[in-house]
Amino acid sequence: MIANPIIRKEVLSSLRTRKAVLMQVMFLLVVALLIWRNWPAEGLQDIGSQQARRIFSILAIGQFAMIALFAPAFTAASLTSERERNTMESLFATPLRPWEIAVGKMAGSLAFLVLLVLSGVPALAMLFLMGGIPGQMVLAVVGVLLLAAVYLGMIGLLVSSLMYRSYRAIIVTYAVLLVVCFLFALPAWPVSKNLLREGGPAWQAVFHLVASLSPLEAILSIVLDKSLYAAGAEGMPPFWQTFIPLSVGAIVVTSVACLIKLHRPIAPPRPREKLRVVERGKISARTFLFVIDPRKRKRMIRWWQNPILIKEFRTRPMLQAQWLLRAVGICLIVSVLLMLLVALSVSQWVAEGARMIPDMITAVSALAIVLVLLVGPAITGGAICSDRESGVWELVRTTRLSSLRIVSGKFQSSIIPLLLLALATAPALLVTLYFDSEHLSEHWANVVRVLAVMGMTVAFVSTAGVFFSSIFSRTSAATAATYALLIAMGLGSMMVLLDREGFSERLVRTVFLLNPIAVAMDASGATALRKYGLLIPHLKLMCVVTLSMLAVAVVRVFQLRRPD
Amino acid sequence: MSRNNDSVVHCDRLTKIYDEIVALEDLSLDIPAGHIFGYIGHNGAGKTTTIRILAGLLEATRGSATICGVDVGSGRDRIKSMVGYMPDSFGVYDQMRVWEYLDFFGAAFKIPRARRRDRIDHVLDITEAEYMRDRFVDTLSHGMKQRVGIARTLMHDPQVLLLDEPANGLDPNARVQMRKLLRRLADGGKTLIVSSHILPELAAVCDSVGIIHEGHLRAWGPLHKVLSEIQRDRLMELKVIDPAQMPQAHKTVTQDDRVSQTDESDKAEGVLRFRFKGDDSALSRLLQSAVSAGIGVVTLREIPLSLEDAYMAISGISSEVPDSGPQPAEDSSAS
Repeated sequence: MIANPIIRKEVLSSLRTRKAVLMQVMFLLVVALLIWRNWPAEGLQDIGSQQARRIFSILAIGQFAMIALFAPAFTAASLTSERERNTMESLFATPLRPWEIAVGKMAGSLAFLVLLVLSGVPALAMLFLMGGIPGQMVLAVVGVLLLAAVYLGMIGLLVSSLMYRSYRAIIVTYAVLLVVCFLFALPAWPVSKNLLREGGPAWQAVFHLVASLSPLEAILSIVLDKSLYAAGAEGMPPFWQTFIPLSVGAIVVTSVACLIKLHRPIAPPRPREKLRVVERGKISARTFLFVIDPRKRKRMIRWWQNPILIKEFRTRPMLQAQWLLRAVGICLIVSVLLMLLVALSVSQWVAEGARMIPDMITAVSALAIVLVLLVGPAITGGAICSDRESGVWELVRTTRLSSLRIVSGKFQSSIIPLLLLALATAPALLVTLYFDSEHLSEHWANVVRVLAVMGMTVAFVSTAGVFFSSIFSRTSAATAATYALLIAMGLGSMMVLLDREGFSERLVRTVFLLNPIAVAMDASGATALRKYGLLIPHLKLMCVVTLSMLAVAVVRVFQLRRPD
Repeated sequence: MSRNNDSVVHCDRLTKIYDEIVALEDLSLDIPAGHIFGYIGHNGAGKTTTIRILAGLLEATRGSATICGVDVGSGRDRIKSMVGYMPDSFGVYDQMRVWEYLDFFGAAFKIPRARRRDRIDHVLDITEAEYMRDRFVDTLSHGMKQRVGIARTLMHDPQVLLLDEPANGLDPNARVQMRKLLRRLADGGKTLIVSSHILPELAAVCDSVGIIHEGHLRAWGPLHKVLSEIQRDRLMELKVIDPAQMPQAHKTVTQDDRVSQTDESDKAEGVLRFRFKGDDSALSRLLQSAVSAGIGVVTLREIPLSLEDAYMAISGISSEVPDSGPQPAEDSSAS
């Protein structure tokens, strides 16, 4: 197998990249930081099994989180970038068999993830040597981490084999990973009132298997075996034991699918209609169908308009008016419908409706923030680097546009669609007010606070996208970095929720402070978070971070515009 | 070198060094208004480096360059209005029609809306791209894109156009179109710097050429002058009626000490080629001695040097040429 030249080339070239070195360094730094922060100050001999377990679980979950964050960045673009550079065809023109090429590409992308897991093993093994952690547990964690790395990596590769553009592959891979890691685990968590415990044994077994597909749940079931988040269905083995065969099966299935897909070349995106333009003022069926007919003759750019902003809205696939308006419309309708459905289906509504309003405001605001966090990087990730990738940047540099005007145009083109999407959920917030006119002023204050958090989050996410896209030269890297940052902010709170007693109050507050979802829930009046007083410090912190990132982006664009 | 008064582009000992690589060394030249300057050199010779310095995209390590008297280093903002730059490969936006593309760049050059509308009509007209107005830029063929690229460089009505390999990848028909377009632009008063490694392309259309090799400008000036400068030895072809006389012809010719580098590769056809260092009277004496030796001479002719030969000759003798900088070929019509 090692005679396969593709494997040698891919493994070597993927491990040689700056990205690989940076990620490896970051991984080990975080592992070191976790140990340093959590190691008892009194001395090693005092380390009880309780404490050892806590450090072990933090390390295991931390390592898993990083693998999950890095997997898409390393695998999702591996095949699409070959397509984008037209190098795939020359590979297929060699006497190598297609499966050899496919296996080579897979090995190259997965090698790094496996190496990442292996480089974290000494940290885990150290705790075993200190006592308190059974050897089987260490082995199980390493095994599940290895399987998770290959499993998540294969998902990235499969998505990559189905797509043509790298940045789209990255977006889809992150979306799928969120589903696999979190949504699949949901039935096992108290949040869903433990769906696992409802229904008969067959029902329970099905939910147990679904949750076993989540590598996050598998890790939790090893390190937090007594937690509410890790308890499986009665009579079933722990999640990690069912995860092993299921993930092996999933790896086999995705590998075969990936192989089949690689055998067949993918055609580039279909060319669009070439000639037809609908002159302004003409109304046809398309006008109503598209809300704004994409073929309608555009207006010339006016003196007060930022050319970059107009250009972004005309050319970026996710920003075009017809799609944006439809997305906003759908969000609007879904949010109101969801609200009404919840209101109608709750049996206590009539009697205790007023009491539920704060909960509903909390749910809606959390959902709106999640929507912004998920869609944001996809919209903003390519803001500046897409121009550099396509070669237009060289032309923009020769124009008289200033750095400030360019960043302003890019920033506006990121913030406007996100703001529209976020605002589309606002009617759902207002609907709730209608049901409880007695405490209107109180609810109204909460809604205003939530809107402030939403606005800040939108500004932060758009700036993060513009910031990363000014730092990186590739859209896929910028999108991945933006997703990684936002997911890491969310994941931190997740870890804290799992083991709140294990962390100091200060750390818990800091973690929540960084998480806009938690802050939005606090702003909406959720009692559990009220004691932390997150709103104002969060707004201040985000304001500073956002402005700093924006300033860096302006400086960076200034540098990019300067003569080389 | 003294600066030419009506030169639009002026470079003085322009040098660019990347770490250890000298991309351009002591480049000095003047290009008069309304000229097409053909910039010839193989890949990596320093053409793009020069053009990018003139466009204000690259900082020179040493030396200076001015366009219409404005220094490209210190007056970058003014230079942007004076120069239209088309890179070797330039990006286009997805989902953007040709007129929208031109409108965007017009707005980026701060051209008022009403004037922009006229400019779009004008540049589409001059590049004969009017029929592409509503096409999507990214769906155009390579030749069409190149024309739209030139239309874009013309949007802000610059005095100087810097076109990096505009004929690269074009089919023969599109090349002819491109040549005509370049001529039209020069006739309209624009000064063009056109780089290429496809030499016949430029020979047909340029007023002056510069040949660059490994960062050194080896020769520049009007085309015919550059050719005669390079042509130190005349390349001659002698055709005899009977190929059996070839050994005798060879002997007679090589007896003359002004002859060098004989080539008998076509001796089956009775053709002998050689290099000759002498004037027409010396050549006449050579012919006379051949005829008196009883050789049946059909023709004795001089093979004109092509731009390609000149380029090859210059590349070949690069190590022998001193680094004192090129001398412009004298031509009264050029200035």
